[in-house]
Amino acid sequence: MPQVGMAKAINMALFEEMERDDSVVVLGEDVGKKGGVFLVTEGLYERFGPSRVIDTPLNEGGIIGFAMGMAMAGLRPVAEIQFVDFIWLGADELLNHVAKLRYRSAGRYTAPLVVRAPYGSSVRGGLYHSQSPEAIFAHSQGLFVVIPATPYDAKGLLKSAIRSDDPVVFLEPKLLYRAPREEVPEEDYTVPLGKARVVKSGDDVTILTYGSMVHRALEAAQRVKYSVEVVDLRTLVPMDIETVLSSVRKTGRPIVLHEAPRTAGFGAEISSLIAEKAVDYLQSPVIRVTGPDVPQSPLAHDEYYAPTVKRIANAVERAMKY
Amino acid sequence: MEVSERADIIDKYRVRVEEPDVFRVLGPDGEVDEGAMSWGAKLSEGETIKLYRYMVLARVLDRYTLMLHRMGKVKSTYGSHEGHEAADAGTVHALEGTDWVAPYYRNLTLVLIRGVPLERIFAKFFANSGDVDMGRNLTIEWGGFKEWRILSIGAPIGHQYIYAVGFAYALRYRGFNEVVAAYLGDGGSSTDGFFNGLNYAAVFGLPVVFHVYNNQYAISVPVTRQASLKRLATRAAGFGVEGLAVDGMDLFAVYKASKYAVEKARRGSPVLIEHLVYRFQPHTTADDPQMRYRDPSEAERWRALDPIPRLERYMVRYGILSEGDVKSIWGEAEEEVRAAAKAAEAYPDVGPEKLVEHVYSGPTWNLKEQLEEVLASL
Amino acid sequence: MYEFKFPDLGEGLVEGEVVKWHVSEGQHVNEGDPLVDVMTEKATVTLPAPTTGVVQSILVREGERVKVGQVLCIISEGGAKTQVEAGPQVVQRVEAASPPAQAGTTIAAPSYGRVRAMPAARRLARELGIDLSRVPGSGPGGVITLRDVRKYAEEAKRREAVPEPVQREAALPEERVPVRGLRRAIAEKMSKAKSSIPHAYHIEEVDMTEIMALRDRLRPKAEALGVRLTLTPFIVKAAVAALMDYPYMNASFDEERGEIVVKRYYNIGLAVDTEDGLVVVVVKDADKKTILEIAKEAAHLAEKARNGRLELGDVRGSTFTISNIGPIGGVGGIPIVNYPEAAIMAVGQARRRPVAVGDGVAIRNMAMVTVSFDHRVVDGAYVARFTNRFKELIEEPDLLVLRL
Repeated sequence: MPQVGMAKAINMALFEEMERDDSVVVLGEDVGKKGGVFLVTEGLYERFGPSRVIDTPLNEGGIIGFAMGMAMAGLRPVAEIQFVDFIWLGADELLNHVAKLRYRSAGRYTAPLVVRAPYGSSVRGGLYHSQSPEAIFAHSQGLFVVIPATPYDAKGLLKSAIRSDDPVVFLEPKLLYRAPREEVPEEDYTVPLGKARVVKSGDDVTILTYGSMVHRALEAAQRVKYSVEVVDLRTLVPMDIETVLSSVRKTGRPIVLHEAPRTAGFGAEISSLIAEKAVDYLQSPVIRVTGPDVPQSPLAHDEYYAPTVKRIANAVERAMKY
Repeated sequence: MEVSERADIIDKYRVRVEEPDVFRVLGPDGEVDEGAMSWGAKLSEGETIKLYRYMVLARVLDRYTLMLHRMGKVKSTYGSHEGHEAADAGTVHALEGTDWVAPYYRNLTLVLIRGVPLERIFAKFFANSGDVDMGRNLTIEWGGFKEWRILSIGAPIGHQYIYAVGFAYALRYRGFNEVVAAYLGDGGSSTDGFFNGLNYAAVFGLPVVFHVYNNQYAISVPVTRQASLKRLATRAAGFGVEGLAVDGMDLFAVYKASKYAVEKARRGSPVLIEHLVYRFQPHTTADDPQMRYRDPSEAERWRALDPIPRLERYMVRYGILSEGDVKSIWGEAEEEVRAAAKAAEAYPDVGPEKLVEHVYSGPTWNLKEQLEEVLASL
Repeated sequence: MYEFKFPDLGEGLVEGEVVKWHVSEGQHVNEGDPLVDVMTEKATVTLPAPTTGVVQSILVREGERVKVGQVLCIISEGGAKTQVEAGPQVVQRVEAASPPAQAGTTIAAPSYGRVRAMPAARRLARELGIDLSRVPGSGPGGVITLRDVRKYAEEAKRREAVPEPVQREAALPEERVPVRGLRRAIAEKMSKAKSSIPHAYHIEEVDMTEIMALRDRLRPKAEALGVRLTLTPFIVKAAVAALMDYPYMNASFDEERGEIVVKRYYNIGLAVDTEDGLVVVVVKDADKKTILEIAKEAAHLAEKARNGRLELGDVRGSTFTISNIGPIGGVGGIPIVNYPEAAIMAVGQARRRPVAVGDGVAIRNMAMVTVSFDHRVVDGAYVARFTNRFKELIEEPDLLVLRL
């Protein structure tokens, strides 16, 4: 099995799905001959040609609306938004129309598309190549929100997303595109949507997180003298509430970790669910470790905008005071 | 060096835009411009009568709905399409039955001609269990009328242009020779969806006909605030798309232009048609133009061009229908509408358990939980 | 505008600690609604709202101390009932609110609400039946954590099992237990009594043989009436008789006015050992009650004390206190005066000892009786005479009968 990073793993998923099913098409800016600015679509154009690997005009509303129409007609488009920060040009298409299509048509029309977008800070992207707006998608009824943390999961989750009958916002932590690398099988496999993964089990503290923060959480877990459980949500919507709650019930000390700004972030939703469903088990307050409520992320502060290992370790120490 | 004032030096580098005239076949008194009539496709007498009947039915339906709204039976605000009947009839009749429409919300005649039964339409207005959309949308937001090849729309207009293009792309990709007709109003011609739709259609050469119903108003804002152009059709030029301007209250002009556009689009060249119409009624039942922004005399002037009397005058003049026929067509329409409304009223309410259906392809734990909580309160 | 001042809930009370507000600012209250829990030296008391209206501001926060007379909160009156004549009535109402003997006011009942504990700690405490107010909190700001409850439960179990002092010491060389609740009240009261009252002591041996024989004879008869007869009611009756003869022993010292307050009513405080600590329950008007009545009442009060169900009236207003430590053991003890009383008597365990009787030696049940007293009120000789009278009544129960 080849050792690959996440970008390559996603590329493998796209390649295999396009081979498997000719209703799968890829569209976006620079996805064609260039193979995408992160080379995620590399080689697809050569293999599948311009009718299935489609360079579009520069307008995200166009990309998403175009993909919506394709999906309504039975295709399985995978739309790439070059950086999630640019997605707001297509906010109406995505949030008002793609998300609500099944509902407003009482199930007669659906838009089973995937919107892929790199997201997240720590890559010196400034204010418009760094955002983590996952909470906004999670708050738009009708969209699935998936965020892989490893190459293996990225391939398996993207395949599930493409095969899903629901529209999926697939956010790729661009910090992880090249590293870490791991063995990714070349054969077909899927990772189900809506299932979290206990990446490391522990007894004292639970860190609930996703995306690139999974790796920082693991690093922090090594640094503290306590037994830390790390849960990778993988899918924010629908969320795997059972895995989250069973971990929280076990440790009683939940830490919610994401790089997105804190206020009204997805961590607030996780915290509320814990408060509603597991308050009796809480030995410590639910602690949120997140990016600060400033635009994500100023170049000068990029290295510590997203929670650092030290900040996460501090939170563990804080939880263990209880 | 001396500065030259010669225009011809720069002229060949200047974009030239010639604004079109408005294509019209039928005069205000029902008289025909023979030259115009000789161009393009021609409706047969039978087709004309059929479309006329639909137009009458749609107008009766429109008026009756306004009355039901005041009785509190129509569940949400309603926007009349009075004045748009010929545009709908002509554009939709130019399509094949297998073609698709992506309407906006002032397309009631279109919906009727596409075959949606009156009873279904009323059930939708009443938002009861007879509604295809399960009572989820406003009266004239057509959410799930797929059975009649009507694509789905929501109130934030513009998007139907761009997804119509994506839909057309998929049709072509799959080898179907079908066309999509997409609709917006004059206000809609300012949206991102409009620009993206035209641009993507042109870039990819897709079988889409774009209709703009220029009814002079986006609620209260006059069309002069949408574009500094005489004709909205002119906008097509900026995308490399052919644009046409027609009298949208003239069934023949609309039909001829639409038929031409559909055929051209089927060959991979999208066309934009601006239909000059007038919105005789308020924007919706929540609006009252005469109170604030429209002089009643303006509507009176436009009334001379009202598509239905104009078509009646034509048919009587050319002996296609007698005055008696006209009268009985109106009478039949009224009876049909009244009966359908009554039948639609009989549907029970949408069950509360439908609240959480169709958000996703299957139920999720949180929706189940939330439904239980709601049901426990009822 | 109604200024609700912390009322004097009992003599000697000068301050309390606000443990819980049942209302928040802006909330409407009806007269009589539970307003605030205040823990005094003696008890945690729920003070009811003195008037109907809206709580405008809360001036003493939870955890803060409040002095008698200090404004706890301001209620703007809304009820028509209390609307009239604002000025003079305020004073009246404060006074009306002062007598605290509200029926149903509970005392020292461990309340889960006022303890700061993490939810998981609460759940475990609930499952194990542990009173959280007794669990020392080690979390940030003293919050009780799950660990604390577990530790407490383990220690409780160990206390029940055979003690393993060596092992325990090795495990826990030292433990810091926060002083709170009743323990704190006791600590403060004792400090105050010991620091403000110049104590002196008188010790006497009392022959309990006769009174015990009498008690034994009466016991089956009392039992037939449903009363378990102990020595306590006899000791109470003897003490009351002696107090009547030596009234300065049934008194208190008014420091402010430099007066001795001699009391002509006889409310006898009885020290009761509860799980939470020492509680003094009060048998009111003991001079007017029979042995049987006192026995019954004492048993009832002790039961209430152990169940944490005491009411304010059960612990207020003693004029003289008796600590009968005999049942637990020990030759005797030297008690601290129950502030602001003038004296307290401790009765040790009656033990069989050889004593001189006449010219011979006999085995008698001898108990050590210690009287601690406020030397500002009485002198040693006076106390000795008082003690002699008590001794006489106990040793010759016939004399006691004459006084009943």
